[in-house]
Parts: sequence; structure tokens; C-alpha cells
Amino acid sequence: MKKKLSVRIAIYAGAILAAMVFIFPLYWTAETSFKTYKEAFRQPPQLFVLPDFTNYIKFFSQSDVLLLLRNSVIVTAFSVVIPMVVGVFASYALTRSTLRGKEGFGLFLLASRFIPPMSTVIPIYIIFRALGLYDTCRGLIILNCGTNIPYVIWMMRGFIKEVPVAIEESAWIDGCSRVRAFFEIVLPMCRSGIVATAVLIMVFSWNDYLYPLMMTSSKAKTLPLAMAAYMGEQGIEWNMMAAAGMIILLPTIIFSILTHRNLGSGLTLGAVKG
Amino acid sequence: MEQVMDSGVKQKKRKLFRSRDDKMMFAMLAPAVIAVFVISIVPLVYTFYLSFHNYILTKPQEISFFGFGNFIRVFSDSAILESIRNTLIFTVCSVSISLVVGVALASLINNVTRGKTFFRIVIFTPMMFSAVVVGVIWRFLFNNEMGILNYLVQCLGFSRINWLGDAKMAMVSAIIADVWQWSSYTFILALAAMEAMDPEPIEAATVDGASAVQIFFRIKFHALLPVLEVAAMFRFIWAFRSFDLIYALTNGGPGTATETMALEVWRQAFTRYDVGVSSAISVLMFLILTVLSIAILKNSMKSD
Repeated sequence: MKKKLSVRIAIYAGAILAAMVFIFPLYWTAETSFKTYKEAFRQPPQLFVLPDFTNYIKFFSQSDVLLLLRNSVIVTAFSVVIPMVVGVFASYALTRSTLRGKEGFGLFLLASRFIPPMSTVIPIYIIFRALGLYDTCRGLIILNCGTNIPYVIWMMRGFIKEVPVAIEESAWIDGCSRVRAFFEIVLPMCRSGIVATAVLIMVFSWNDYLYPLMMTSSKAKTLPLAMAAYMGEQGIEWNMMAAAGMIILLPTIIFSILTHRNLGSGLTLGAVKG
Repeated sequence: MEQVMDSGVKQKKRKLFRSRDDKMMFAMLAPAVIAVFVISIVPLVYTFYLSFHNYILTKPQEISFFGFGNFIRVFSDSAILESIRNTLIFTVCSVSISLVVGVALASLINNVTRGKTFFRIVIFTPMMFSAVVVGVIWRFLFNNEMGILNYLVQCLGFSRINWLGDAKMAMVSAIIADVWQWSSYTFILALAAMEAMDPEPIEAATVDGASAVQIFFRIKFHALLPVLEVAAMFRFIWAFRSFDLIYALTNGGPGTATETMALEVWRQAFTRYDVGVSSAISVLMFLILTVLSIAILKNSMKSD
């Protein structure tokens, strides 16, 4: 069914306009990050400047940025690995077992996803202070686990359900143990779901701002907090702020381009079958 | 020997586990349940406890029972009441607009034949961005004197808009930034649903001379409805508790024009050190969201 030429032109014009609305803020941030302090304030604004990485070099040569980067990487890595292991097992048990009371556990785990972090953050602050977890990477990892485990269970449920029970059962009949069948049949069949879930919780943990803002002061600060350094009362160093912002966005952009198919189907399955 | 012992253990635990399989499944499930209980439920109970107490963050030893005192203070403080109102306005506007925009974008991109992947990635990516960075980016775009938006507005011959400095415009600006980031969620769900649609009824309707608008509302919309329901509920939960974006964009200002409940919880506890009132607001947030999440879970369990 061929559409009329005028309709097709209109569709493309609309699509390009939409793409510009979504790309422009990012383009403008990238451009600003290449400018000097004065250029960033210039009126009329310069729409195009050649890449110049001075601000990025300045950003990374600050004394504590490498510490923040290191903290962000450590916290993100553990906040992905631990919840993935714990969550995938739990998700399997919830979808495939005959365990008594599993509906109750399932409801409990899924419902906990809806607790707003703001409702628990004040007591956690008090508890962390008392336990010595305040301003530690361990503390942030624990909190991210609390957020990410229910998310993994929610997402993976849909994918594990997609694996036909019959395949698993025939493996058991052939003498394959349940654990082996889980690792050799169920997990490989859920590969795209595992990738999607892991990338999503990685991005959430990398972007997390609330917990580091409230639970750290110096030693365990993460990269998003670096932005605050350029947010003085007097004025904002927009060029440096843009460079810091680009550094924080870069990994998430790369991962969403690389895994966009997985993420799309993951979010859809998580939403519909969740 | 072993077998005898094994069966003995089995008999004792028969009530909980029907088989060895169940035991293994329980072991797989237990770490998640324990983790969530300790990390989420224990602090939540503590929040409820604190909301009934007078507690100053810097003087923890002077904690005293306060009954419903904190809640009475919440409902008689006009600034806190405004934060509740702002949260509802922000949430309802952002969610409904982002749903409409997301569906519109999906129907547009679904008709694109070449370069579909490019458009899909471009429109999908903002939801992966750090909300603080998005807030800062829009703060730059909205800047009154040197922001690019006001430059464009002036080029078009209008006078500058005080996006973030004017009380009414600040809320509009916050909603624009949030819609920009989150339309992508509805977009990706709606696009997937449209791609999975059966093309036959649509073709039949086209042959019968139905217009594109008719086809959308009579056929496509019904297929999209279940997806939209889920998107709306999740978006409502996220927008209702969002903190980062508004914190970076306006920090609740000007005055209290964009102060939301999440910001108010943080401000009461960490700048006024009033943990009691802060906890009372968090309890309210929790209760409002619980009502919603029960609705969601009922809906999702139905489809099992």
C-alpha cells in the first residue's frame, strides 16, 4: 500500500522536526561544553563551534573527580551484579515453583517497588549514621539493591514466563537436574531479557542522585554530585556544567544505542506481562 | 541411614515444603525477600514511627511522642499544602501530556519507512538520561538573559518569557522538561504495540474509505489501551515522587511555586531538621502511592 507523496513528505517533515526537538537540547549542551566561559554567555549565541576539549581536561584535572568516577563505577557495578543474581533466582522461583505462599511473597516483592524512596530516606539516614554506613560506597550499594532487586524480579518474570515449561520438563526427564536446566536452558533463552534488565538497572544506578546527595558527604560521593560544584549562588559556569553533564550522559547514550532493541522489548514485556 | 534422616526432616517440614524442590525454590527466593524487607520495609515502618514523634535531627536524644501533631502541622502549613497541590498539578499535567505526545510520536514514527531505527533511538534515549542533568540542561535552555529559547522567542518577534523566574511559568517549564524526558516511555511502548498490530482490519477500513483519524480512534486506540493503562500508572508513580529534575531546574522556586512533596520532605529534614514533619509528609506520599499501586497490582495479577 503506497501512500501519496505529499503524505510521505508530511510524515518525514514531522519525524525530522520531532527528532530535532529531542536532539537539540543534547546538541546544545555538547556545543556549550566546547565553549569558553565568555562564549557560553555570548549573545547572539553561536550555534556551531568546533570541538575543543579544554573544559573536559579541566573537569578531570580537579582533585576529586577521579574519586567520584571511581565511586560511581564501583557502586554501579555492584548495584547491577548483586540484584541481577538475587533477582533472577527469585524471579524464577516465583514463576515456576509450587512453593506455598509464593503469591504472597510475589505481591510483597512487587509492591515494594512502589514505595517512594523519599518515604524511607530519612530513617535510612539515621540508621546509616548509627551503623557507620553513612558516606560509604557499601551504603549506596545496599540502597541500590533495595531498589533494583524488585525491579529485576518484575522485569524477569515476563521473560521467564516466555520460556515454555515443556522444554524444561523434557530436560528433567532426560536426567538433567533442575539447577542445571535453569542455567543451561532457562537463562540462555532469557538472554535478551537479562541484557535489557541489567542495562536498565545499570543506568538507574549510574544516574541515581537522591541517595548520594543524602547519604554521602566526601568519601563516597558519586559523579552526578560533581555538577553541584559549578552551581554557585553568584552564577553558573555553564560551559563546565555542560562538560560535566556530557560525561554523566555519555555512558547512558552509548548503552541505549547499543542495546536499544533489547531495551524496547524489555520495557514493553515488563509493562505488559509484568 | 541418610534416607531415613531425610524422610524425617521431610515429615517435620511438611507444612512449609511439599518437596525438596520447594526447599530449593525457597532458598532461591529468600535472599530477595530478606533484602527487600531489611532495606525497604524496616525504614518504612521507622518513618511511620517518626511521623508520630517530635524529632529534631540535631537533637536525637530529645525525641518525644507527638500523636497526630505532625499531621496537624502539615495540614495547617500553607507552604506544605502548596507543595501537595504543586505535586498533583505537576504529576497530572506531565503524565497526561507525555501520554498524548508519546502516542502521537509513535503513530508518526510507525509510518516512517526509512531511518526508523534512527528516529526510534533519538526519541527513546531521553528516558535513560540522568534527571539531574536534564534539569540542568533545561535550566540553561530556559535562562532568561542568555538562554537559547528566549533568543528564538525574540527572533520570532515576541518579548522574552521569564521561564523560570515567573511563578506560573516555572511550573509550565518544569512540566515541559519532564514531558521532554518521559514521552519516550509511552513512545516506545506505543510503538511496540502498533508494530504488533494486525494490519488486516486497518487495511479493510482503508478500503472502505475510513479516514486516518477514524482508523486511529476506532481501531488502533483500542489495541493501545492496555499498554497506555500501564504507562499511565507507572508514569504517575514516577512523576509523583520525582525529585532530581525539579531540584536541578528550579529547586522549588521561585518562592514555593514549584516546591513538590519530595522536595519538601528533603527540605524539612535537612534544612529545618524537623524529622517529624518530614516523616509525616513522606507517610502521606506513601499512602497516596499505595492506593495507586494496589490498583496497578490488581490489574497486572488479573492478566496472569
